[in-house]
Amino acid sequence: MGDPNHIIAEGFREYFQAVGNKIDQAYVSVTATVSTAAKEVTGWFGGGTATVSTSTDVTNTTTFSTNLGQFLTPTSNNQPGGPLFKIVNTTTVSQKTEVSVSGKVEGVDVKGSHTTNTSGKSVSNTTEVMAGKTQGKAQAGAFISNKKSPDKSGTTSETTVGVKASYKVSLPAKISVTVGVEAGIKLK
Amino acid sequence: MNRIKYILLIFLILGCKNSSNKNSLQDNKSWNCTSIDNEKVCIPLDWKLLHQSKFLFFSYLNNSDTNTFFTVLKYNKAVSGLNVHDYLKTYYSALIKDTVESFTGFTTKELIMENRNSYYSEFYTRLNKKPYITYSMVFENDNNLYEFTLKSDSAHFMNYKATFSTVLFNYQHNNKSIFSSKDKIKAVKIIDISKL
Repeated sequence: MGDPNHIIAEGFREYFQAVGNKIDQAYVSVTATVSTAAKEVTGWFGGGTATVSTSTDVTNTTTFSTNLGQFLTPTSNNQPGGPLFKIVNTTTVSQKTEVSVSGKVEGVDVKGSHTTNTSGKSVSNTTEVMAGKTQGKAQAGAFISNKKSPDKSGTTSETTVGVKASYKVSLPAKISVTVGVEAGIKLK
Repeated sequence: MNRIKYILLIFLILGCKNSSNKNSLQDNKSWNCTSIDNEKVCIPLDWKLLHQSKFLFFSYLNNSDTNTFFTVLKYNKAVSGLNVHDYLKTYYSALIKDTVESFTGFTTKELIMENRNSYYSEFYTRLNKKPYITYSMVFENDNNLYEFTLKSDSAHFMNYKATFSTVLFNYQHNNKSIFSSKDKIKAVKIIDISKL
């Protein structure tokens, strides 16, 4: 397992670049590295925490109603039909990976997460970064969210920017409800 | 009545003959079919067959890039002690240790079919800043482990992937095709060969 600081820094550098470039990469691209033994690793960076976790409850087998000829027919967008394991400095990324961070950057609360969900047929990526105030039960901040997933015509990429706020409400009998508000614009 | 049966029989024979020709590259002048022991492999005529002893079959493709090729490997399982997982594990280890060509990613799927399971992979590498894709099909047949590999530059992947499947479907062992384009895939399992 590498240095968590490096992992997160590299990861977020790439996410921001990806948002800026409107995701011109052809495949799933996650720079977080996960050791085969570790299911969850948490490390400190600055005043916050970073967590890289892998999910082991992914079902890798999917039913297919196709034949070998169709399976091997190339598609014009050069997309693999399943998850691509990207090699980054001789480490690999598992099929379902979630990276989350929280902490302060120059006094501003920052929260971020990146989730990769894969199945035999599809891959979708969601990246979200929030920067803003966290006070008591309320959270508010600006966010950049990027989601990409393949469809019949190729990979679709959707970037959303906006403001998100949520408030945690405590009710009797230890039930809590989180109310969320989200406003933004979608860039395609 | 016998004459009608005789005519029907002729039509039936002609029909069968046409049907077999349709799926065979034996008589296609654009293809070059070579027999090696009890194996028969057909490749496009403009590929550059190289006679050597390291692989069962090796050919450069129809370009000047000697980093691109098609090859068939065959190992006796009893002699080599190899199984598919060991083979893929070794394959991955070699790619990751390569200091000249950088290994950037892969996708491997176990194709579960009626008569056999096969492992189809695409390996992504970069050499001299040029991206390459290697298509690989590993499977076991008659106590042998086979690998079909085609490596092409990424820019021309469409044509070469289509040709790769045509070569695969026309490969014969003991005069019988191993794969058919109509082979039903029952399920696909994603394999992370870095963890084998």
